[in-house]
Parts: sequence; C-alpha cells; structure tokens
Amino acid sequence: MFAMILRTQWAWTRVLVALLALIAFLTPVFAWRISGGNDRAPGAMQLIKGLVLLGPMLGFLALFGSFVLAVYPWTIDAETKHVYPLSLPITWSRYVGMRYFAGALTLLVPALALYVGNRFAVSMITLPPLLQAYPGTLAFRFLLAALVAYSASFALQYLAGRRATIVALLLVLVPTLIFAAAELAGARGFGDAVGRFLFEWPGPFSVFSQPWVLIDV
Amino acid sequence: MFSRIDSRSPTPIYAQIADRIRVAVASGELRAGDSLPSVRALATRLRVNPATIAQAYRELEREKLVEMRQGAGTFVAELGADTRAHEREAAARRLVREMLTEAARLGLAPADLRAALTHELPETQ
Amino acid sequence: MTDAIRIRDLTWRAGKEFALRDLSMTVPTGAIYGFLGPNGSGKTTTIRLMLGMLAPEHGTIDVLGHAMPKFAHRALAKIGYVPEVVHLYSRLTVDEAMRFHKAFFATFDDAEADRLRRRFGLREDQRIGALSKGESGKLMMLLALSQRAELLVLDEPTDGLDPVIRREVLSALVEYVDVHQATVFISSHLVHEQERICDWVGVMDGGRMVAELPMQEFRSGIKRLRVLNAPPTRDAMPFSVLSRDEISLHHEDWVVRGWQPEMREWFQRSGAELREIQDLDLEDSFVELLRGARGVTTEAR
Repeated sequence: MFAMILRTQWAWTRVLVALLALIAFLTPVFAWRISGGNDRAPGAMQLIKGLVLLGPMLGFLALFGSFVLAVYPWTIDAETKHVYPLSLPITWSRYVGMRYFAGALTLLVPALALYVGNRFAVSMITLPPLLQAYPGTLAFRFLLAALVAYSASFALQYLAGRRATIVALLLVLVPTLIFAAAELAGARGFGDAVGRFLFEWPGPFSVFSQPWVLIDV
Repeated sequence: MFSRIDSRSPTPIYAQIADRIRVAVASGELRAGDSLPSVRALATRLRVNPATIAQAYRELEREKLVEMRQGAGTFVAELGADTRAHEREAAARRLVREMLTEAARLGLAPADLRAALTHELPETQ
Repeated sequence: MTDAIRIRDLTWRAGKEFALRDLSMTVPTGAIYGFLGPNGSGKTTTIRLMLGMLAPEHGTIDVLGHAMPKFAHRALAKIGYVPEVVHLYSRLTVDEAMRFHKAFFATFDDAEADRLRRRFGLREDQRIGALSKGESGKLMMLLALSQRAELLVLDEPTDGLDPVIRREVLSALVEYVDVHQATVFISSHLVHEQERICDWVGVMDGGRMVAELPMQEFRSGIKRLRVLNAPPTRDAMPFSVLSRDEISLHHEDWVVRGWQPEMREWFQRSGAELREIQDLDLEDSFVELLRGARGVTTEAR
C-alpha cells in the first residue's frame, strides 16, 4: 500500500524534486566560481567565500522547496475532497501518515544531490593542511532543515485545510497579541528572546540560521 | 424476443416475461425442447433482477410449460397439441380482458365494441 | 444471516437544520436495495455516514457487521463504492488507477478487471482527467466490481450517462450480482431503472425513511381507486390513504397503500362504490407516497 502512495507522490512531484536536486547539486559546484575561482586556479578560500554567499540559498531551498513538496500533493488529494482515500480500507490517520512519509522520503533526493555536489566541489580544490571538508555533514544538515520545514508545512496545511480561517487568524493574532502584551509590560527585547529561543541551538529552527559550512577546521 | 419488457406497465415484469413466453409457445415460435436463455443471461440482457427471471420461469414450470433442469438450463416442455391450443385461448382472453378494461374506462358499451369488432375484422372465414 | 446494513435512529445535522433525524434502515444481505428520495432528502449524506466518512450525532450504523465509523477501515475492504462525482485521482491513467486500487484491496481480480476494461472499451493509457462522464462512470464501476466487493454502494451510477453506456453498466452489475450474490445499495432518482433491478425499496423524504419494503409489495400494495360516493376517511380503514382527489361531483380518486383485494368489502359496507382499481407504476407510487408523507391530503394509518 505504501509503495503505491510513494509512486503517486513521486509521479506528482518528480519534476519539482528534480529541480531541487539540480539546484542543490549546482550550489557547491558554483560556489567557488562566483568568488573568483576558475578552472586554472580554484582554491579553498574561493570555495569558502562562495559558500558564505550561496549558503543561505540552501536554506531557502530547504524552506520553500519543502513547503511546496508538502502542500502540492496534498492539494491534489484534496481536489476530490479526499473521497477516494476515504473509501480505502485504511484508517485516515494511517493514510495521512503514509502521505507524509512518502513526501519526506523524496527529500532524500536533493540531499543526495547536494552530497554529490559537495564531493565534486571539494575534489576541484586542494585543501590546506588545517582545514577539513564536511560534505556529508552539510548534506545531512540540509536534509534536517528540509524535514523540519516539510513537517511544519505539512502540519500547517493539513490543519488549515480544515479550518483555514481559524488557523490563519491564530497565526496572525496570537503572536501579535503576545508581542503587544510583552511590549506593554515593558519586556524589551522580548522579540529578541523569542528569536533566540527559536533560531539558536537547540531551538527547532536553529538548523536554518547557522552558517552552511562545507569546509572548516 | 423480450425487447418490449416495460417497467412502466402496471403488469409486473415477471408476468410480462412469462406472458411473452406463453405467447411464443402458443404461436409456435418456441417448440418443445427449445432452450430458453439462462436466468443470468436473460437478467443481464434485460437489466432486470435475476430473481424476477427465476420467478417467471418457476411460474411457467408450475404450469408445465417449461422444465428447469439442474445444471442444464430451462427448456420448453413436451407440449400436447391441446397445450398450444390452451395457450392460444388464454392469450386471446388476456387480450380481450385488456380491451374490455380500457373500454370500460372510456365508457363504451358492449354493443359499441361488437360493432367496432365487426368493422375491423377482415372479411375472411 | 445478519443484515448487510443496519441503521438505527440515525441523527445528523449540518448547521441549524437537522439533515437526518431518527433514520432507521435495514438492507438485508443479498438484496438489491433501491434508495429513492427527492433531491435534498439526505440520500448522499446517509451514504457518507454509511461509509464512515461522517460521524453520526446519535444512533448506530452497522455495515457488514462492523460499527461505523469506528471500524470503517475494516468494512471498506469489502465495500465497492461508486460515488456520484468522480473521486479518482485525475492525473492517473486507467491502468495506474487499477494498479492503485489493487494495492489496497486484497481481493482484487486482475483478470476480471482486464475483461471489464475491454468490455467497457477503456484504454489503459487514458488519463482519468480526460475521460468523459460515461467513461469515468464505467471505470468506477469496473474498480468496484473487480474488487469482488460483498457490498456495492452506488450513488446515481447511471445518471447523466447515455443510454448505451447505461445499459452496459447495468448489465455488468446484474451479472456480477448473480455470480457473486453480492448485496447492492443503489441510490438513484431513475425510478424505472430501480424498478427493474431492485427487489427492495427504501423511500426517504425530509431526512426520514418514509417506507421500506420489498419492491413487489410496494408496487402491488399501492393502488389508485375510483370511488363513487366516497365516505369520509376514518381511522378504522384497513389501508392508508395517501391522497384523495375529487374528479367530479360524486367521484373521487383515492391513492391507497397496503391494499389487499379483500378490502373491497370495506367500501361496500360504507355505502360507497368501488368503480375501478388501477395499478400505479413505481414513479407514480413514489410521488403519491411522498404526497401522503408530506400530508398534502388527509392520511389515516
């Protein structure tokens, strides 16, 4: 059963996944090019600089790519108001779970492409003695970021699909109210504290804010 | 043969099917030993509940017009000469009964009907 | 033998108005049950509840021995559902849809599916989104039948189909029922079609069941009587009057339910004359039944 869900998931999103994989692969490959490196004089410094520039691209890719991968197939499923999956002999929670996992599995493709791109980029340069390359770690970090974004997007649109207005209102009203209350109560820097809580390790979105590093000590 | 089965008619469908077979027997269209379509085949062809077909066949079997043989199908029974004549008589009476019902509805008297019959019947015999 | 579908005191509503109230229905195993009712009477809602897609507010639903919606996933393994509107993924091809369906229903018969596909004239590579209404109707029926379902739930399966396709679909259905002794639940407003195929009829109106009985009894029990010097209707009548219409000064047309030939005596005893007894076809019976149920004219039970 899961194999079938995976097949339809792949069929519906393979173009997008291929696109994400292509961009993921090219990002490290072009990193040293854009900071002045060329075929005759590629260097570790160019690669590092290039990735500082292009690194956030990977963050965006993970964020928006995963968002679309979470939302698009579910929208197709919702076209017929889920009547067909509801008529299948599985519980609804199992069905939703299978869709979720099928989508999550497809995230492996761009992560793998990034890994290959990393290896390729590193092979084009010579590493100075004190530096090391982390092609796998970077790819894994990307995968993690993508999974976080995918899960958040999936949960959001699953809930929003049922009570779209309520969720939208909550998303806007609640933070606004909290921040307003905090300001009024004189808690300066409340926004900063929340930001740090969410985006710094071990917060859930920390994987997005830290630098995307391929070469390090 | 069964193309005029009509669910809009007040006659139940099983009766229409049985009547049609009776008429076919009376007219010689169906002869002794001829096979009738299987319940399933006829039901599928007419898009009618199989139980309805079975009911028609069973009624005819009670009247000794057909035989339902297990595993082989349904066949027209051996008919005596008087069976066919009997069926023809029954069919004619059914026809006249329908005519009389309709005539009553229209407020026609028996004299009106006789006159019309004489007028319409061809001058043979 | 337990009933295929057993619904008791079902209540469900959307918004302020009650859509279904105290609805009780029994579909015997092996029956071909025709579900009749005007638009808006709650037929599709009843079907959704029956399949566990909605949860009732009150009442019980048992399908093939399983309580719905709690054990819907168990019952659905044996139910073939053909909804009114195409519910299949539009991006799949006919072949992919068949494979997908097979992956979820262990009883799926490949050979049968292929046979039906050819019989219905569907090509494997046709995209579902590009199919005509008739073709998608055929495909949905194909999937339900190939699944070897014990219970078929059909919601307007032939509505909007041209006569040729309608016949093809109905023939396949009749054949399947006879071969597999399946139970069929058909909701349709095509009354004459229902009459040919169904051996049980359930009539719904305004969120309630108005009548539920074998088809032949329904038809033979509803008559139009031409009555001369009709007596006033009283509670002591052996039949129930669905409607009374004045035809002329002394003649009335009564439509009654539960008629038996012996009841002629009742008219003789009340000093009236029963001029004529007319059979009604299912469509007229259905209309008169609803008139009676809605209390358009006096009714006595």
